[in-house]
Amino acid sequence: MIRHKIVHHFLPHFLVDSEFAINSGHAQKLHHRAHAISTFSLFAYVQLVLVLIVSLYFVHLKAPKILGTATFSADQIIALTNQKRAQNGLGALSYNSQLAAAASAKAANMFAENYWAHFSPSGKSPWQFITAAGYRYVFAGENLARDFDNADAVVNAWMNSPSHRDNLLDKNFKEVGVAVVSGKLTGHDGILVVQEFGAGVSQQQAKIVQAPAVQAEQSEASSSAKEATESSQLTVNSSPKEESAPTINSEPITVNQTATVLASRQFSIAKIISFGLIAFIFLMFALELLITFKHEHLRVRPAVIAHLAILAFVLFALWYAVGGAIL
Amino acid sequence: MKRIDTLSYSLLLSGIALGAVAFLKFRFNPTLQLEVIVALALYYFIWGAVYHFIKRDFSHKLMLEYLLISLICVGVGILVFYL
Repeated sequence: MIRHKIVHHFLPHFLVDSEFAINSGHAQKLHHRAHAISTFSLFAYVQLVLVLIVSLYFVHLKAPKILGTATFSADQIIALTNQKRAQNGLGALSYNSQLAAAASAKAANMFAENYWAHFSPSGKSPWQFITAAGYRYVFAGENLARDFDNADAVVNAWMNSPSHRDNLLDKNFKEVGVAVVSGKLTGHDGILVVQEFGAGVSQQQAKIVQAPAVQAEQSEASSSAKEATESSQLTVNSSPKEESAPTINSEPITVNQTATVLASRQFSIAKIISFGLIAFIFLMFALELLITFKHEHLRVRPAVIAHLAILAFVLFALWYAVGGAIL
Repeated sequence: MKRIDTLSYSLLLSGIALGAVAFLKFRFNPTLQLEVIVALALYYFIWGAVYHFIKRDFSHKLMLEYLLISLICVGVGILVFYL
């Protein structure tokens, strides 16, 4: 009896319609779906998800350390970038303190003006930060990342995006500067990574080669600012003759070579729980479909196929979910 | 009726396939990915209402089932892509 009850929770089953049997004298079997996907259970799953959302939100807000902490540095980003370049037969980028200062200034400005874009709302371009730091370039580029919990994930995300990959593996770039900054950006606490690439004038005085994938020319920077903001990566050639130094509001944020990520395991926890729940519901509906197919006298409920389709999509989405954003 | 079934499921699966492509295109933009999930959950719910209305087996209980599954999908989307 107990075994039957447990089985009925997970498998569709058939019960004798007692009312029909009494009235007609014949037993008629009614098809019942597994209790685990009854309307009541689905409602319970919705409540469970709501509780998880609220709990994670408050834990993240009040005691993020419970969800883990991780530390990563600008040096790790540079080392991994050079590792990827070496794997592709390219020379290593050397650290440049002016580009690092430009990256830090850009990060500070992003927090001050609260934006997630290559161009600031007040129209400051990445090249203004590079020039303001005293770096005269022939080629320059910028990659941005946020909310990742380790350096590997940042560089892998850039490598998986064609335009960012182009920057990482651009043979014209000779130097790099990176800022890894923690703070609150567009309503989210997290880590911001700014990577500035460059080839200084002194390194390329003799020959100026056209960059292979130039997305924004400096001379057209102001007019094409909007279009460039929407692109995922920026490369520019030739330093402008005169640039105004961007004014940066001082805000209480941490600008360091190393940053600590709070709640670093939040994404993995949310992903694993969500994947487990959706996979379980998917499996229950799939079992209903399979068992109904095996019994010729039963008809497949049309809703089951639709449910399986949307649940399959969500499983796919969760599988490919990445814990961060790049620009 | 079979023709309606074929057409309806083609529409549903095409929408979901399109959503999957959009999801991959926005792979490194969690905000847009969440928007894709919300849009698809809404599409699935509306599809369910229209399909069962045409099939004349529309019931509030069935719509509640669609609504709850839509909410679960949006909920896990918020959990993973927004928080």
